[in-house]
Amino acid sequence: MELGEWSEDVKKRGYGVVAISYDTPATLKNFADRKKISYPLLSDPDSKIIKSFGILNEKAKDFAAGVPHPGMFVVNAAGKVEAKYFEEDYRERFTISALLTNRFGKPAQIAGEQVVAKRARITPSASATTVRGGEHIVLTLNVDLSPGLHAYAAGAGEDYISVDWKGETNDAYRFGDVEAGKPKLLKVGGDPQPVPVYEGKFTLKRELILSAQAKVQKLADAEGKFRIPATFKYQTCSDRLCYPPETVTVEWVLRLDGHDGTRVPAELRRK
Amino acid sequence: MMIRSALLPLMATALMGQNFADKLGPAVGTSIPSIEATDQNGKTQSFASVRGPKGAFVLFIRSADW
Repeated sequence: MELGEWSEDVKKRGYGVVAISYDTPATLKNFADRKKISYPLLSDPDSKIIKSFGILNEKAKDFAAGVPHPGMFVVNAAGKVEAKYFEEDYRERFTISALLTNRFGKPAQIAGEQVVAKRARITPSASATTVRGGEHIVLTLNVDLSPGLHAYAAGAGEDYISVDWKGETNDAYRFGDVEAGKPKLLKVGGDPQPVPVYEGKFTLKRELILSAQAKVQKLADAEGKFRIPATFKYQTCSDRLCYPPETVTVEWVLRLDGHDGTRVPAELRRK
Repeated sequence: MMIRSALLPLMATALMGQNFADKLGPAVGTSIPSIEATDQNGKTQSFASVRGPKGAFVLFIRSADW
């Protein structure tokens, strides 16, 4: 789980941030200082809180005995759970940046070159541009159509060419399903049914699930950058005519962050 | 696991992930247990002292050391 910059963002949205682990306050202090973490890190050395939440990892042994299943609860001001996030596969982790983009509408960061295509500009962005193996992030395509034109949304039916974002899964990552902004219903030509369309600016989103660090590393250059190509197909029409469908290639450029293996001084480590 | 990640669409994996989360900890809509513990600065904190006007993100991490 990324532990840094997002916390101020969360606070601005009215939520406090607290992290709980089985470490001692001295270990937490060392970690907080190194990582410049200002929100409270709570020490639960006997795993009392972890057990009372019912999230103790019972398979963890020896020095790891007492750790929780890592995850997060979004809790409202009255102390009730609004949402919770845990990954079944311990090698994968949800990211708070993805949560902020998905649930709290935080705009994603530009993550590649804008493509100026015919009658549309397409910008790739992402909930995070620096990532680690196993993370789930959100990729978005921000599309800006030329004035007076519309493009057909998914569900427009067989008579129309709907927007389509294709990306190929490989060893380093896989994609989730595309989620699109709410289309507008438009009466088109002689069609008795209104058709779902986008006009002006609209956004498509989908989850990107990264494989283990070593697998993503294989794609990365010397600076840790790696590319995620995809194609975006669309057809634009005005109220009088339709233009030929277009397929453009869009590319996200992300940077793989190395795992920071730094530990606390030996005397602070859990035996 | 391989079959799940390779073949099923996200909707299914999201649901499976959701089921996994469902089994862990207090259910959505229910109250969390009390949180009272010492923070990295030696200060005693509780849910009331860490929450903002809307609530709090309560994270459980494996360890701050390894």
